[in-house]
Amino acid sequence: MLRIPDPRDSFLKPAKGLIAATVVLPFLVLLWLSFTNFGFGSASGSGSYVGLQNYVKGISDFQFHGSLLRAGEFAICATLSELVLALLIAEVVISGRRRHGWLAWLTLPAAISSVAVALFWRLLLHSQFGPIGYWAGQFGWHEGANLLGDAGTAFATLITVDVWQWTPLLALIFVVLRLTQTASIEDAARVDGAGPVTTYFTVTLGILGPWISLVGLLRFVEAFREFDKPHVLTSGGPGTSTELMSLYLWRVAFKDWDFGYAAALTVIVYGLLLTAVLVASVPATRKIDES
Amino acid sequence: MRVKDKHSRWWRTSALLGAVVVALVILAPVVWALATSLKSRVDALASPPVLLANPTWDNYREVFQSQRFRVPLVNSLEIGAFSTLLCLLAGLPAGYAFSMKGANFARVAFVSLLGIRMAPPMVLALPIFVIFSRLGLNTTTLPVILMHAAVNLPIAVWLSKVFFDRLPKRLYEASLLDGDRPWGAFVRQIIPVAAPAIMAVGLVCFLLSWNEFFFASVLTSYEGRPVTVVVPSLITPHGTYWGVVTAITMISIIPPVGLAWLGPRLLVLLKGKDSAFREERR
Repeated sequence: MLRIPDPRDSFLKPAKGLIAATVVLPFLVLLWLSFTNFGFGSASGSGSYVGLQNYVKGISDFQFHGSLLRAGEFAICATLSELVLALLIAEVVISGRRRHGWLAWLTLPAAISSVAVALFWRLLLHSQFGPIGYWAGQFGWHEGANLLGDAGTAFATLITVDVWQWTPLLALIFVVLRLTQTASIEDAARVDGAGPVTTYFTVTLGILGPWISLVGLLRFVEAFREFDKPHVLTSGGPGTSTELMSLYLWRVAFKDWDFGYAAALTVIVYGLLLTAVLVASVPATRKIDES
Repeated sequence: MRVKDKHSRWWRTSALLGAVVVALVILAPVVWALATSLKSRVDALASPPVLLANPTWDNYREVFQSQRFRVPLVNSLEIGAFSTLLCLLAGLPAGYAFSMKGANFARVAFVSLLGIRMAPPMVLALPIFVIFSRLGLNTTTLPVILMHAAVNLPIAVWLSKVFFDRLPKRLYEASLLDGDRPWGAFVRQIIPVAAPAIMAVGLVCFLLSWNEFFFASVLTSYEGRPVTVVVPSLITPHGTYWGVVTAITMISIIPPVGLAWLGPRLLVLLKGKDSAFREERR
């Protein structure tokens, strides 16, 4: 009995055990796989050590670069549209009547699974019996089978579906923040004679700023690794016009069965993502702490 | 009151119109799918499309009578239940430890948990697939259960921490002074009053597991597939029974939609408990 251990440490043991078995161990296996040619696709996939070969191949893989850029473009476009629209909707809700019971329904699109969301939209966009797809076809908005089958419109359609899924939840978050954080200070600014537009851009957005960047950051990361909706809606097509990063990794691993290479690409992506998030989150969390 | 009146009549009217448009845009895709699930096979393929001509329950009857839909529903329940159980067993005590240890520790732990949460799913799916293939356990639902537990654990820990922050610390300390061991004190003094936390964490983890697609599609064999994996596989280029597909989808969104309706009411319940704790702390 030289040192009495903090009894509270024992409460962390189950979580530590679970993380060790389901996160740390698999991650080490992933690192090891990334230095091998392990795979099920060909006779060469024996699992022997190949050094940095997979990483070198990844750095010069233009399909990988394309999928990364597409994922970045998708994430930025979706996140920005969602933030702007959500702020607008929050404003509409706030200035409406003070009956907020129906606000719960703003969580609906985010509460149902991405697969269900994708399915709803695939149905709506069907060229013959989907209302949007049929009328879009009548007006000649696209070439090919429907909005998802035209390389010119598929990407934008995918972003639209993501916007439908997440904007209402963000709007709800902003409504709650507006009611709890900014309402009283806005009233003070109004009493001092500031007009509604000035108040909004100087006071409201000033207070919401750090929250907007935090919500935007989380949404960006989620959108960057998006898999479910493009998988169900387009499978990455037409061509590779909607093949986001996750879909390309999935294709290398579970279509080509090239596990060693997929592991190396995954490590690269995770490294990029962690760096980006760490760099971006330091100022964001600091601002919220200060306020 | 005076300040609010500054909204002009024009702005109020357009805000109301905007709210109606938002509500329509949110509801339209769900309503269209619901209508399709109530259509006969012929009506579902009508072109130009019609909303609903002759409603029928045939699609739902087919879903409930067919074995190939009952198995995935049971799989979804099984994966959700066991992964939630793991999350509760590991997450509640960890959330309590976070709550007791102060802000700095919690921040470091939070950032590392966030690192898990925002990893591309492939980081875990790939090695887990290889490990469980080697172990010969890749036809069970065990890998999916473990993965859902792993990615939902950060949320379970954080929700529990937020709840435990509101509990008086002396509950636990008094129990230790009475001679309980730490776990005994936790189980006897903390768990009984943590029912709202258990309920909230349990519901959230279950729904996240219920909705999850990537791990479920990569790590299950044909017999182990949950609903989220079966539904997209029913869409084929050779013809899709949209009525049946939408029917099973509508059934699969009942739990999340139920939570969207129940959520605020649960929150009120939690707040009620909260005020009781404030009373005690005084």
